Amino acid sequence: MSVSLCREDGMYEGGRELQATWRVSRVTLDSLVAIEISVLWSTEGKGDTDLHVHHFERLDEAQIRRQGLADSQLLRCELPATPLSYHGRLIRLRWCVRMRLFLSDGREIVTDQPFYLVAPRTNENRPSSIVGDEPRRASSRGPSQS
Amino acid sequence: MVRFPRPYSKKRGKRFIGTELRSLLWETAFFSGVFLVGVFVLSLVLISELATWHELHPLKEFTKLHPDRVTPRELHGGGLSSWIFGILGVAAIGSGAAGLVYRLVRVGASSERRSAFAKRASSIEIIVPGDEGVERLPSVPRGISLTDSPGERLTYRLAAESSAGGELVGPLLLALLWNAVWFVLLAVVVLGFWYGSPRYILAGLLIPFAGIGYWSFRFFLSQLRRSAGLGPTIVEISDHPLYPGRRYRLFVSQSGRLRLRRLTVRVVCEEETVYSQGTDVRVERYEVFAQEVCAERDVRVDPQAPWEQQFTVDLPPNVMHSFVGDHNAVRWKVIVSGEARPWPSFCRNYPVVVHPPGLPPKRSPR
Repeated sequence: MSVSLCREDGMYEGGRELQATWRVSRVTLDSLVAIEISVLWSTEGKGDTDLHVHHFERLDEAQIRRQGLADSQLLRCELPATPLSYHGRLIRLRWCVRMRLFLSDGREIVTDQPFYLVAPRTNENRPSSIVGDEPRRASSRGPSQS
Repeated sequence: MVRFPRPYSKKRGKRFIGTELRSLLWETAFFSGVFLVGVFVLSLVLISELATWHELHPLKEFTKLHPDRVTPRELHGGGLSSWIFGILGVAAIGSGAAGLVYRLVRVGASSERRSAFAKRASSIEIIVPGDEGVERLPSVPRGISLTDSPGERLTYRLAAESSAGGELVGPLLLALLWNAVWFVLLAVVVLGFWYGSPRYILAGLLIPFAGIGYWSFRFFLSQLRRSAGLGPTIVEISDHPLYPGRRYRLFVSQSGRLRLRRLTVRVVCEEETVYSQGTDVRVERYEVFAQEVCAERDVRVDPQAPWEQQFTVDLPPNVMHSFVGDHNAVRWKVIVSGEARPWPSFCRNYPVVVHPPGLPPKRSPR
Protein backbone atom coordinates (compact mmCIF):
# COMPACT_ATOMS: atom_id res chain seq x y z
CA MET A 1 0.00 0.00 0.00
CA SER A 2 1.19 3.49 -0.68
CA VAL A 3 0.23 7.06 0.17
CA SER A 4 1.36 9.92 -2.08
CA LEU A 5 1.08 13.59 -1.18
CA CYS A 6 0.21 16.24 -3.72
CA ARG A 7 3.29 18.30 -2.83
CA GLU A 8 6.73 16.85 -3.37
CA ASP A 9 8.36 18.76 -0.53
CA GLY A 10 5.63 17.61 1.85
CA MET A 11 5.18 21.09 3.32
CA TYR A 12 1.66 22.35 3.88
CA GLU A 13 0.59 25.67 5.29
CA GLY A 14 -1.85 25.71 8.15
CA GLY A 15 -5.43 26.24 7.07
CA ARG A 16 -4.79 25.04 3.52
CA GLU A 17 -6.04 21.90 1.83
CA LEU A 18 -4.13 18.65 1.78
CA GLN A 19 -4.62 16.26 -1.12
CA ALA A 20 -3.19 12.79 -1.16
CA THR A 21 -3.76 9.58 -3.07
CA TRP A 22 -3.60 6.13 -1.63
CA ARG A 23 -3.57 2.73 -3.19
CA VAL A 24 -3.50 -0.85 -2.00
CA SER A 25 -1.72 -3.38 -4.15
CA ARG A 26 -0.78 -7.05 -3.94
CA VAL A 27 -3.67 -7.71 -1.57
CA THR A 28 -6.83 -9.46 -2.67
CA LEU A 29 -10.28 -8.11 -1.97
CA ASP A 30 -11.20 -11.22 -0.02
CA SER A 31 -8.42 -10.73 2.48
CA LEU A 32 -9.43 -7.19 3.36
CA VAL A 33 -11.89 -6.41 6.15
CA ALA A 34 -11.50 -2.64 6.45
CA ILE A 35 -9.24 0.28 5.57
CA GLU A 36 -8.75 3.32 7.74
CA ILE A 37 -7.21 6.55 6.49
CA SER A 38 -6.45 9.29 8.96
CA VAL A 39 -4.63 12.59 9.06
CA LEU A 40 -3.16 13.07 12.48
CA TRP A 41 -0.41 14.57 14.55
CA SER A 42 1.51 12.83 17.28
CA THR A 43 4.36 13.69 19.60
CA GLU A 44 7.61 11.82 20.00
CA GLY A 45 10.38 12.22 22.49
CA LYS A 46 10.87 11.77 26.17
CA GLY A 47 7.29 12.36 27.24
CA ASP A 48 4.32 10.08 26.80
CA THR A 49 2.83 10.24 23.34
CA ASP A 50 0.06 12.67 22.49
CA LEU A 51 -2.00 11.84 19.44
CA HIS A 52 -4.81 13.73 17.81
CA VAL A 53 -6.69 12.67 14.71
CA HIS A 54 -7.74 15.58 12.53
CA HIS A 55 -9.40 13.67 9.69
CA PHE A 56 -10.65 10.07 9.65
CA GLU A 57 -12.21 7.81 7.04
CA ARG A 58 -13.06 4.15 7.34
CA LEU A 59 -14.01 1.88 4.48
CA ASP A 60 -15.70 -1.35 5.45
CA GLU A 61 -15.75 -4.50 3.40
CA ALA A 62 -18.75 -3.55 1.24
CA GLN A 63 -17.33 -0.12 0.40
CA ILE A 64 -13.98 -1.65 -0.52
CA ARG A 65 -15.67 -4.08 -2.88
CA ARG A 66 -17.70 -1.28 -4.41
CA GLN A 67 -14.66 0.93 -5.05
CA GLY A 68 -12.20 -1.81 -5.86
CA LEU A 69 -8.46 -1.75 -5.42
CA ALA A 70 -7.33 -1.11 -8.95
CA ASP A 71 -7.51 2.68 -8.91
CA SER A 72 -5.87 5.18 -6.64
CA GLN A 73 -8.21 6.81 -4.16
CA LEU A 74 -8.20 10.48 -3.33
CA LEU A 75 -7.97 11.91 0.15
CA ARG A 76 -8.80 15.57 0.66
CA CYS A 77 -9.02 17.53 3.86
CA GLU A 78 -8.50 21.04 5.15
CA LEU A 79 -5.62 21.23 7.56
CA PRO A 80 -5.89 23.17 10.83
CA ALA A 81 -3.76 26.19 11.60
CA THR A 82 -2.02 24.47 14.50
CA PRO A 83 -0.12 22.70 15.92
CA LEU A 84 2.75 23.24 13.54
CA SER A 85 5.40 20.58 12.98
CA TYR A 86 8.17 20.94 15.51
CA HIS A 87 11.51 19.34 16.23
CA GLY A 88 12.70 20.29 19.68
CA ARG A 89 14.91 18.86 22.35
CA LEU A 90 12.35 16.92 24.39
CA ILE A 91 9.38 17.08 22.05
CA ARG A 92 8.93 16.35 18.37
CA LEU A 93 5.58 16.97 16.80
CA ARG A 94 4.97 15.26 13.50
CA TRP A 95 2.03 15.19 11.13
CA CYS A 96 1.29 12.21 8.94
CA VAL A 97 -1.29 10.50 6.78
CA ARG A 98 -1.78 7.08 8.33
CA MET A 99 -3.27 4.16 6.52
CA ARG A 100 -4.28 1.01 8.38
CA LEU A 101 -5.36 -2.21 6.73
CA PHE A 102 -7.38 -4.80 8.63
CA LEU A 103 -6.88 -8.25 7.14
CA SER A 104 -9.26 -11.14 7.46
CA ASP A 105 -6.72 -13.24 9.38
CA GLY A 106 -6.65 -10.61 12.15
CA ARG A 107 -3.42 -8.90 11.14
CA GLU A 108 -3.10 -5.16 10.74
CA ILE A 109 -0.72 -3.34 8.41
CA VAL A 110 0.09 0.30 9.08
CA THR A 111 1.95 2.82 6.98
CA ASP A 112 2.65 6.48 7.67
CA GLN A 113 3.33 9.23 5.17
CA PRO A 114 4.76 12.15 7.13
CA PHE A 115 4.40 15.76 6.08
CA TYR A 116 5.16 19.15 7.60
CA LEU A 117 2.55 21.62 8.73
CA VAL A 118 4.12 25.08 8.56
CA ALA A 119 2.97 28.60 9.25
CA PRO A 120 1.40 30.50 6.38
CA ARG A 121 3.94 32.59 4.53
CA THR A 122 3.55 36.30 5.06
CA ASN A 123 5.11 39.10 3.10
CA GLU A 124 5.63 41.32 6.10
CA ASN A 125 9.20 41.94 7.12
CA ARG A 126 10.32 42.33 10.66
CA PRO A 127 8.59 45.50 11.83
CA SER A 128 10.52 48.33 13.39
CA SER A 129 7.49 49.53 15.32
CA ILE A 130 6.33 47.99 18.54
CA VAL A 131 3.06 46.07 18.50
CA GLY A 132 0.40 47.56 20.73
CA ASP A 133 2.40 50.73 21.31
CA GLU A 134 -0.02 53.13 19.71
CA PRO A 135 -0.18 56.64 21.20
CA ARG A 136 -2.51 56.69 24.13
CA ARG A 137 -4.58 59.52 25.43
CA ALA A 138 -3.82 60.88 28.86
CA SER A 139 -7.36 60.16 29.97
CA SER A 140 -6.99 56.46 29.25
CA ARG A 141 -4.22 56.03 31.79
CA GLY A 142 -5.12 54.22 34.94
CA PRO A 143 -6.10 50.70 35.90
CA SER A 144 -9.80 51.48 36.07
CA GLN A 145 -9.99 52.06 32.32
CA SER A 146 -10.81 48.78 30.70
CA MET B 1 18.45 54.42 65.33
CA VAL B 2 17.18 50.98 66.28
CA ARG B 3 13.58 51.00 67.40
CA PHE B 4 12.72 48.35 69.97
CA PRO B 5 9.32 46.74 69.71
CA ARG B 6 6.92 47.94 72.34
CA PRO B 7 3.76 46.02 73.20
CA TYR B 8 1.92 49.19 74.12
CA SER B 9 2.27 52.53 72.40
CA LYS B 10 0.28 55.61 71.69
CA LYS B 11 -1.68 55.67 68.46
CA ARG B 12 -0.41 58.43 66.20
CA GLY B 13 -3.17 59.11 63.75
CA LYS B 14 -2.96 57.07 60.57
CA ARG B 15 0.78 56.66 60.67
CA PHE B 16 2.28 53.26 61.24
CA ILE B 17 4.46 53.04 64.30
CA GLY B 18 6.15 49.85 63.12
CA THR B 19 6.39 48.34 59.69
CA GLU B 20 3.45 46.59 58.13
CA LEU B 21 5.44 43.39 57.93
CA ARG B 22 6.11 43.41 61.65
CA SER B 23 2.43 43.89 62.41
CA LEU B 24 1.59 40.98 60.13
CA LEU B 25 4.04 38.69 61.92
CA TRP B 26 2.81 39.70 65.36
CA GLU B 27 -0.84 39.31 64.40
CA THR B 28 -0.13 35.90 62.91
CA ALA B 29 1.70 34.80 66.05
CA PHE B 30 -1.13 36.15 68.22
CA PHE B 31 -3.91 34.38 66.35
CA SER B 32 -1.89 31.17 66.25
CA GLY B 33 -1.43 31.43 70.01
CA VAL B 34 -5.15 31.98 70.54
CA PHE B 35 -5.89 28.94 68.39
CA LEU B 36 -3.44 26.72 70.27
CA VAL B 37 -4.59 27.89 73.70
CA GLY B 38 -8.13 27.06 72.60
CA VAL B 39 -7.00 23.58 71.62
CA PHE B 40 -5.31 23.17 74.98
CA VAL B 41 -8.32 24.32 77.02
CA LEU B 42 -10.75 22.25 74.99
CA SER B 43 -8.51 19.21 75.35
CA LEU B 44 -8.45 19.66 79.12
CA VAL B 45 -12.21 19.85 79.28
CA LEU B 46 -12.86 16.97 76.89
CA ILE B 47 -10.38 14.62 78.48
CA SER B 48 -11.69 15.48 81.90
CA GLU B 49 -15.26 14.89 80.78
CA LEU B 50 -14.71 11.77 78.72
CA ALA B 51 -12.59 10.12 81.37
CA THR B 52 -15.65 9.90 83.61
CA TRP B 53 -17.51 7.84 81.02
CA HIS B 54 -17.41 4.16 81.82
CA GLU B 55 -17.55 3.17 78.16
CA LEU B 56 -14.19 4.82 77.39
CA HIS B 57 -11.74 2.31 78.81
CA PRO B 58 -9.07 2.93 76.15
CA LEU B 59 -8.99 6.63 76.97
CA LYS B 60 -8.69 5.84 80.63
CA GLU B 61 -5.84 3.47 79.92
CA PHE B 62 -4.11 6.07 77.75
CA THR B 63 -4.46 8.92 80.21
CA LYS B 64 -4.18 6.73 83.34
CA LEU B 65 -6.88 8.88 84.85
CA HIS B 66 -9.21 7.58 87.52
CA PRO B 67 -11.36 10.60 88.19
CA ASP B 68 -13.81 8.67 90.36
CA ARG B 69 -11.03 8.08 92.83
CA VAL B 70 -9.36 11.43 93.15
CA THR B 71 -11.34 14.04 91.27
CA PRO B 72 -11.92 17.14 93.34
CA ARG B 73 -15.54 18.02 93.63
CA GLU B 74 -15.19 21.32 91.81
CA LEU B 75 -13.73 19.62 88.72
CA HIS B 76 -16.17 16.77 88.52
CA GLY B 77 -17.55 16.28 85.01
CA GLY B 78 -20.74 17.86 83.88
CA GLY B 79 -20.33 20.97 86.01
CA LEU B 80 -20.83 24.56 85.00
CA SER B 81 -17.07 25.15 84.88
CA SER B 82 -16.67 22.46 82.22
CA TRP B 83 -19.25 24.13 80.03
CA ILE B 84 -17.68 27.55 80.49
CA PHE B 85 -14.17 26.36 79.72
CA GLY B 86 -15.42 24.23 76.80
CA ILE B 87 -17.20 27.18 75.23
CA LEU B 88 -14.18 29.39 75.83
CA GLY B 89 -11.95 26.79 74.18
CA VAL B 90 -14.17 26.50 71.11
CA ALA B 91 -14.43 30.28 70.87
CA ALA B 92 -10.66 30.62 71.08
CA ILE B 93 -10.17 28.00 68.37
CA GLY B 94 -12.73 29.66 66.11
CA SER B 95 -11.52 33.22 66.61
CA GLY B 96 -7.86 32.17 66.26
CA ALA B 97 -8.47 30.27 63.05
CA ALA B 98 -10.70 32.97 61.59
CA GLY B 99 -8.24 35.71 62.46
CA LEU B 100 -5.39 33.72 61.00
CA VAL B 101 -7.21 33.05 57.74
CA TYR B 102 -8.41 36.66 57.47
CA ARG B 103 -4.90 38.00 57.99
CA LEU B 104 -3.18 35.56 55.66
CA VAL B 105 -5.64 36.00 52.82
CA ARG B 106 -4.53 39.62 52.60
CA VAL B 107 -0.88 38.69 52.06
CA GLY B 108 0.23 39.55 48.53
CA ALA B 109 -3.16 40.84 47.41
CA SER B 110 -4.07 44.47 47.32
CA SER B 111 -7.52 45.64 48.29
CA GLU B 112 -8.15 46.56 44.63
CA ARG B 113 -7.30 43.04 43.53
CA ARG B 114 -9.58 41.48 46.16
CA SER B 115 -12.35 43.82 45.12
CA ALA B 116 -11.84 42.89 41.47
CA PHE B 117 -11.97 39.19 42.37
CA ALA B 118 -15.18 39.67 44.31
CA LYS B 119 -16.71 41.64 41.44
CA ARG B 120 -15.69 39.01 38.92
CA ALA B 121 -17.04 36.20 41.09
CA SER B 122 -20.39 37.93 41.39
CA SER B 123 -20.65 38.43 37.65
CA ILE B 124 -19.79 34.89 36.56
CA GLU B 125 -22.37 33.48 34.21
CA ILE B 126 -23.05 29.81 33.83
CA ILE B 127 -22.25 29.84 30.13
CA VAL B 128 -19.76 27.54 28.54
CA PRO B 129 -17.33 29.51 26.34
CA GLY B 130 -17.73 28.90 22.65
CA ASP B 131 -15.32 26.66 20.86
CA GLU B 132 -14.59 29.15 18.11
CA GLY B 133 -11.10 29.80 19.38
CA VAL B 134 -10.42 26.12 19.93
CA GLU B 135 -11.37 25.31 16.36
CA ARG B 136 -9.31 28.18 15.04
CA LEU B 137 -6.09 27.25 16.80
CA PRO B 138 -6.26 23.70 18.12
CA SER B 139 -3.80 22.75 20.88
CA VAL B 140 -2.88 26.39 21.44
CA PRO B 141 -3.88 27.70 24.88
CA ARG B 142 -6.44 30.44 24.59
CA GLY B 143 -4.97 32.51 27.40
CA ILE B 144 -8.17 34.45 28.00
CA SER B 145 -7.42 34.83 31.68
CA LEU B 146 -4.07 36.40 30.80
CA THR B 147 -5.62 39.39 29.08
CA ASP B 148 -8.59 40.21 31.27
CA SER B 149 -6.58 42.66 33.31
CA PRO B 150 -5.66 45.96 31.64
CA GLY B 151 -2.32 47.44 32.54
CA GLU B 152 -1.52 50.85 33.93
CA ARG B 153 1.50 51.56 31.71
CA LEU B 154 0.96 49.11 28.86
CA THR B 155 -2.04 47.35 27.40
CA TYR B 156 -2.19 44.19 29.52
CA ARG B 157 -1.10 43.29 33.02
CA LEU B 158 0.07 39.69 33.11
CA ALA B 159 -0.99 37.31 35.86
CA ALA B 160 1.60 35.38 37.84
CA GLU B 161 1.67 31.61 37.50
CA SER B 162 1.23 30.90 41.21
CA SER B 163 0.17 33.15 44.02
CA ALA B 164 2.17 33.66 47.18
CA GLY B 165 -0.61 32.21 49.29
CA GLY B 166 0.00 28.71 47.97
CA GLU B 167 3.47 28.62 49.50
CA LEU B 168 2.03 29.28 52.96
CA VAL B 169 -0.62 26.58 53.14
CA GLY B 170 1.74 23.67 53.77
CA PRO B 171 3.86 25.33 56.50
CA LEU B 172 0.72 26.75 58.12
CA LEU B 173 -1.03 23.37 58.28
CA LEU B 174 2.12 21.68 59.56
CA ALA B 175 2.64 24.27 62.30
CA LEU B 176 -0.97 24.37 63.43
CA LEU B 177 -1.64 20.63 63.35
CA TRP B 178 1.62 19.66 65.04
CA ASN B 179 1.26 22.26 67.77
CA ALA B 180 -2.42 21.41 68.25
CA VAL B 181 -1.49 17.76 68.83
CA TRP B 182 1.26 18.91 71.17
CA PHE B 183 -1.20 20.91 73.25
CA VAL B 184 -3.58 17.94 73.42
CA LEU B 185 -0.74 15.79 74.75
CA LEU B 186 0.16 18.57 77.16
CA ALA B 187 -3.40 18.52 78.44
CA VAL B 188 -3.14 14.76 78.98
CA VAL B 189 0.08 15.20 80.94
CA VAL B 190 -1.27 18.08 83.05
CA LEU B 191 -4.42 16.17 83.91
CA GLY B 192 -2.32 13.13 84.78
CA PHE B 193 -0.36 15.16 87.31
CA TRP B 194 -3.58 16.71 88.57
CA TYR B 195 -5.24 13.35 89.21
CA GLY B 196 -2.14 11.90 90.80
CA SER B 197 -1.28 9.41 88.05
CA PRO B 198 1.51 11.11 86.09
CA ARG B 199 2.81 9.85 82.73
CA TYR B 200 6.51 10.58 82.83
CA ILE B 201 7.38 9.08 79.43
CA LEU B 202 4.76 11.19 77.67
CA ALA B 203 5.95 14.23 79.61
CA GLY B 204 9.50 13.53 78.48
CA LEU B 205 8.42 13.16 74.89
CA LEU B 206 6.76 16.56 75.00
CA ILE B 207 10.19 18.22 75.09
CA PRO B 208 11.44 17.00 71.67
CA PHE B 209 7.94 17.39 70.28
CA ALA B 210 8.02 21.01 71.45
CA GLY B 211 11.26 21.46 69.53
CA ILE B 212 9.65 20.21 66.34
CA GLY B 213 6.65 22.44 66.98
CA TYR B 214 8.89 25.44 67.52
CA TRP B 215 10.79 24.69 64.32
CA SER B 216 7.57 24.25 62.29
CA PHE B 217 6.14 27.52 63.59
CA ARG B 218 9.37 29.36 62.98
CA PHE B 219 9.52 27.96 59.44
CA PHE B 220 5.96 29.12 58.83
CA LEU B 221 6.79 32.63 60.07
CA SER B 222 9.90 32.78 57.88
CA GLN B 223 7.83 31.75 54.85
CA LEU B 224 5.26 34.36 55.74
CA ARG B 225 7.98 36.97 56.15
CA ARG B 226 9.38 36.01 52.79
CA SER B 227 6.02 36.20 51.01
CA ALA B 228 4.99 39.46 52.60
CA GLY B 229 8.35 41.20 52.47
CA LEU B 230 9.14 40.77 48.81
CA GLY B 231 6.31 42.92 47.58
CA PRO B 232 4.32 42.39 44.40
CA THR B 233 5.91 42.13 40.97
CA ILE B 234 3.96 43.76 38.15
CA VAL B 235 4.57 42.76 34.54
CA GLU B 236 2.74 44.49 31.70
CA ILE B 237 2.99 43.95 27.98
CA SER B 238 2.03 46.04 25.00
CA ASP B 239 0.05 43.32 23.22
CA HIS B 240 -1.14 39.77 23.64
CA PRO B 241 -1.03 37.09 22.26
CA LEU B 242 2.46 37.42 20.87
CA TYR B 243 3.52 36.62 17.31
CA PRO B 244 6.97 35.48 16.16
CA GLY B 245 8.99 38.11 14.36
CA ARG B 246 7.36 41.03 16.11
CA ARG B 247 8.52 43.51 18.68
CA TYR B 248 6.78 44.18 21.99
CA ARG B 249 7.23 46.49 24.91
CA LEU B 250 7.50 45.05 28.40
CA PHE B 251 7.10 46.88 31.69
CA VAL B 252 8.31 45.39 34.98
CA SER B 253 7.82 46.84 38.44
CA GLN B 254 9.09 45.39 41.71
CA SER B 255 7.80 46.74 45.01
CA GLY B 256 8.78 46.13 48.58
CA ARG B 257 11.76 47.04 50.70
CA LEU B 258 14.56 45.13 49.03
CA ARG B 259 18.23 45.18 48.31
CA LEU B 260 18.75 42.90 45.37
CA ARG B 261 22.13 41.54 44.45
CA ARG B 262 20.84 40.74 41.00
CA LEU B 263 17.55 41.21 39.19
CA THR B 264 16.89 39.52 35.87
CA VAL B 265 13.97 39.59 33.47
CA ARG B 266 13.88 36.89 30.81
CA VAL B 267 11.51 35.78 28.08
CA VAL B 268 11.66 32.01 27.94
CA CYS B 269 10.25 29.20 25.81
CA GLU B 270 10.19 25.92 27.68
CA GLU B 271 9.44 22.39 26.59
CA GLU B 272 7.59 20.37 29.21
CA THR B 273 7.01 16.64 29.05
CA VAL B 274 5.21 14.32 31.42
CA TYR B 275 6.17 10.67 31.39
CA SER B 276 5.68 7.58 33.47
CA GLN B 277 8.67 5.82 34.95
CA GLY B 278 7.51 2.72 36.75
CA THR B 279 4.78 3.88 39.08
CA ASP B 280 6.10 7.45 39.18
CA VAL B 281 4.94 10.30 36.98
CA ARG B 282 7.81 12.62 36.16
CA VAL B 283 7.92 16.05 34.59
CA GLU B 284 10.92 17.31 32.67
CA ARG B 285 11.47 20.81 31.37
CA TYR B 286 14.02 22.26 29.01
CA GLU B 287 14.54 25.85 27.93
CA VAL B 288 14.76 25.93 24.16
CA PHE B 289 14.79 29.71 23.92
CA ALA B 290 15.73 32.40 26.42
CA GLN B 291 16.12 36.11 25.86
CA GLU B 292 17.51 38.11 28.76
CA VAL B 293 16.02 41.56 28.58
CA CYS B 294 17.40 42.83 31.87
CA ALA B 295 20.22 41.84 34.22
CA GLU B 296 20.92 44.50 36.82
CA ARG B 297 23.13 44.26 39.88
CA ASP B 298 22.76 45.95 43.26
CA VAL B 299 19.18 47.09 42.88
CA ARG B 300 17.55 48.99 45.73
CA VAL B 301 13.77 48.99 46.10
CA ASP B 302 11.92 51.23 48.55
CA PRO B 303 8.20 51.18 49.36
CA GLN B 304 7.98 54.77 48.10
CA ALA B 305 10.06 54.13 44.98
CA PRO B 306 9.49 50.74 43.36
CA TRP B 307 11.94 49.57 40.73
CA GLU B 308 10.37 50.19 37.32
CA GLN B 309 11.79 49.56 33.88
CA GLN B 310 10.52 49.28 30.32
CA PHE B 311 12.11 46.91 27.84
CA THR B 312 11.74 45.91 24.25
CA VAL B 313 11.32 42.26 23.37
CA ASP B 314 12.03 40.96 19.88
CA LEU B 315 10.57 37.56 19.22
CA PRO B 316 12.55 35.66 16.56
CA PRO B 317 10.52 34.76 13.48
CA ASN B 318 11.16 31.02 13.55
CA VAL B 319 10.13 30.03 17.06
CA MET B 320 7.49 27.50 18.02
CA HIS B 321 4.10 28.74 19.11
CA SER B 322 2.55 27.85 22.47
CA PHE B 323 1.33 24.29 22.49
CA VAL B 324 -0.47 22.19 25.09
CA GLY B 325 -1.15 18.49 24.72
CA ASP B 326 -2.10 15.88 27.27
CA HIS B 327 1.50 15.00 28.13
CA ASN B 328 3.61 17.57 26.28
CA ALA B 329 3.64 21.32 26.16
CA VAL B 330 5.60 24.25 24.80
CA ARG B 331 5.16 27.16 27.16
CA TRP B 332 6.23 30.78 26.89
CA LYS B 333 6.69 32.90 29.95
CA VAL B 334 8.27 36.04 31.31
CA ILE B 335 10.44 35.18 34.32
CA VAL B 336 11.37 37.82 36.87
CA SER B 337 13.94 36.54 39.34
CA GLY B 338 15.99 38.23 41.97
CA GLU B 339 18.65 37.43 44.51
CA ALA B 340 17.47 39.44 47.45
CA ARG B 341 18.76 40.20 50.91
CA PRO B 342 17.70 39.82 53.66
CA TRP B 343 14.93 37.86 51.93
CA PRO B 344 15.67 34.66 50.03
CA SER B 345 15.82 34.65 46.26
CA PHE B 346 12.56 34.77 44.38
CA CYS B 347 11.42 33.75 40.93
CA ARG B 348 8.03 34.67 39.50
CA ASN B 349 6.66 33.39 36.23
CA TYR B 350 4.19 35.22 34.02
CA PRO B 351 2.85 32.98 31.24
CA VAL B 352 2.19 34.41 27.81
CA VAL B 353 0.77 32.81 24.70
CA VAL B 354 2.59 32.87 21.37
CA HIS B 355 0.49 32.26 18.28
CA PRO B 356 1.90 31.05 14.98
CA PRO B 357 2.65 33.80 12.46
CA GLY B 358 0.32 34.66 9.64
CA LEU B 359 -2.79 35.23 11.72
CA PRO B 360 -4.45 38.60 12.16
CA PRO B 361 -3.62 40.05 15.57
CA LYS B 362 -6.37 40.47 18.10
CA ARG B 363 -7.74 43.93 18.63
CA SER B 364 -6.52 45.88 21.59
CA PRO B 365 -9.04 46.30 24.43
CA ARG B 366 -8.34 50.05 24.38
